[in-house]
Amino acid sequence: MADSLVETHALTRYYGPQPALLDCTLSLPPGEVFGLLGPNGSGKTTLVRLLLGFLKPTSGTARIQGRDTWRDAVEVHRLVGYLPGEARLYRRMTGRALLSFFCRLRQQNPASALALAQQWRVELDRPAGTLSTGMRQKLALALALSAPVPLLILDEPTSNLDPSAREQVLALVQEARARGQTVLFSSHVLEEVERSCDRVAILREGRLVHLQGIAELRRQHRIQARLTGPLPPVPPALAGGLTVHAQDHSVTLETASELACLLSWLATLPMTEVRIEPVGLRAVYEQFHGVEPSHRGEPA
Amino acid sequence: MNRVLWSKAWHDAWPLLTSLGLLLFAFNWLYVWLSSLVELGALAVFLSALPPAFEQIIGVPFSKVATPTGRIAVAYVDPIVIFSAVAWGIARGSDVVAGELGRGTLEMLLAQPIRRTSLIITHAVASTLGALALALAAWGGTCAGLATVTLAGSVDARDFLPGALNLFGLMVCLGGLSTLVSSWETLRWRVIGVVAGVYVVSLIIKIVARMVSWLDWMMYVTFLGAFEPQSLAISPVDAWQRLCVMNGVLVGLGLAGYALAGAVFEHRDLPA
Repeated sequence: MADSLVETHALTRYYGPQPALLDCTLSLPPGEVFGLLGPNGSGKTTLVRLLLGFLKPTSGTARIQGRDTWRDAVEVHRLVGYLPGEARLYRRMTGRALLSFFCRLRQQNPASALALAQQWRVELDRPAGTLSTGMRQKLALALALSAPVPLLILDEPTSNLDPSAREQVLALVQEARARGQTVLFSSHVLEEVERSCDRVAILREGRLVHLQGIAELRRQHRIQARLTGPLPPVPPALAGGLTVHAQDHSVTLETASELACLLSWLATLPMTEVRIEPVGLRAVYEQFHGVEPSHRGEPA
Repeated sequence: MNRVLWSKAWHDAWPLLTSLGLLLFAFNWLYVWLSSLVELGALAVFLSALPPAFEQIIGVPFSKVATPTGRIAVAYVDPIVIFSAVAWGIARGSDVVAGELGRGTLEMLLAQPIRRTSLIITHAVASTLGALALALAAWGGTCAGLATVTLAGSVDARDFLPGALNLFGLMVCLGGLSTLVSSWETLRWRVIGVVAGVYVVSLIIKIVARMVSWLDWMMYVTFLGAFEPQSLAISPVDAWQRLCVMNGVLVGLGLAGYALAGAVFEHRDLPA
């Protein structure tokens, strides 16, 4: 895709004989918030590190704005603001000195990073080593989010943050999207990803197993009900986007299209105890990374 | 070279540089003063009582040690001076990649638009200039001692400058070797262990080469064969020519270490 900001093609990385990422082909357009999901060891961090040019691909390519992430790493870093999963900073430097140091390396005015850190009440005149984990995370976030770059790579940006700071970060991600920045957002918090992202990729054992548009996901609903009579056939106009699982006296309908089209037909069905819920990212995620029923939150 | 990295390199280096610089200056000053308290005749008697093997280990004839210049020259191979030089070379070199990786700070740093080789070059220049400052601090201590202490014979402070610069060569060599090991390692303590091990083995080779005549060829196997600051001080006639050869080896090895480190670091993966 010519207008992609980030493009990987059959990107593969082995650690010795062990595959960490296999055959990953992705394309991220400008202005998209893209979520990266998967449990530990699924290949998320390897993908991020390949995109940053920290790792050399075993095979395949990764490009950001057409530049090879391994060979043109310096040029690529001019295009990327990065928040590592665990932000480790120079412990003896004060917050102010740290922001100034990293901004000067980017030839960037530190004013916006300082303003963001002050907004989060980070004590900028204390050495980073004496700040709490959350405060250090905020410093690193201020640095990443203030970078005037086309791509932000945020590895678990809200971990270690208090609820209000989480909200602010998610709002800043939306602002970045509004400015036309692409955000690659790795997280374990499905609700945040569902709320913030336009598209998500699910990784399992190093393979990209599913790509899901969130707008499409929001249209998907599950209807569960108890049948009080025989279920009539689905009208042909609805059959395309509807799956029906009827068993004994209960029925589950799943729709991938707008719910509104279905409601009038549902009203005619011999059903009681009707429950309608969005399918949600959790259900999609659990198709690939299923958990024991006892560990599930609510019954599906 | 990147100015921002340069100022950080100095910021990181100055506590160790200042403390080692003060130590070397004060120690060499004190050494001159302590030397003035020992009567030359008594020292000659004491040295003559030692087994000849000690003469071979020191690498300088006892007759030369029992002179004002000889006594002071031994300061440059005193364990305190050697420890300071080794500490500077290994501490700086081990920090550049493995140290930053171990602390987890390299990730944030290399996510910025800087070349990996700039990081090595900045460290190399800062460490080399620091090594020069330390060598001059040691020589400054000797000069200050000679200026303030009355010695039995006449001693020219300039005679100790080649020895001090040989000390500089040792620090550059160890800095380069440590940076090379650091460039592929992930743990700083392992780098320190490897380079300290190489140093000890080299020292043992040097001692064996000195003590066993048919193994004297081993002197060419160890980089410490090119570290003889005491002999440079007591033979000032050809000291500068010999220094050029010795520092050619030491600084050459150090620069080769830095160059190889740059190449290794440029192509290595950065583990999480």
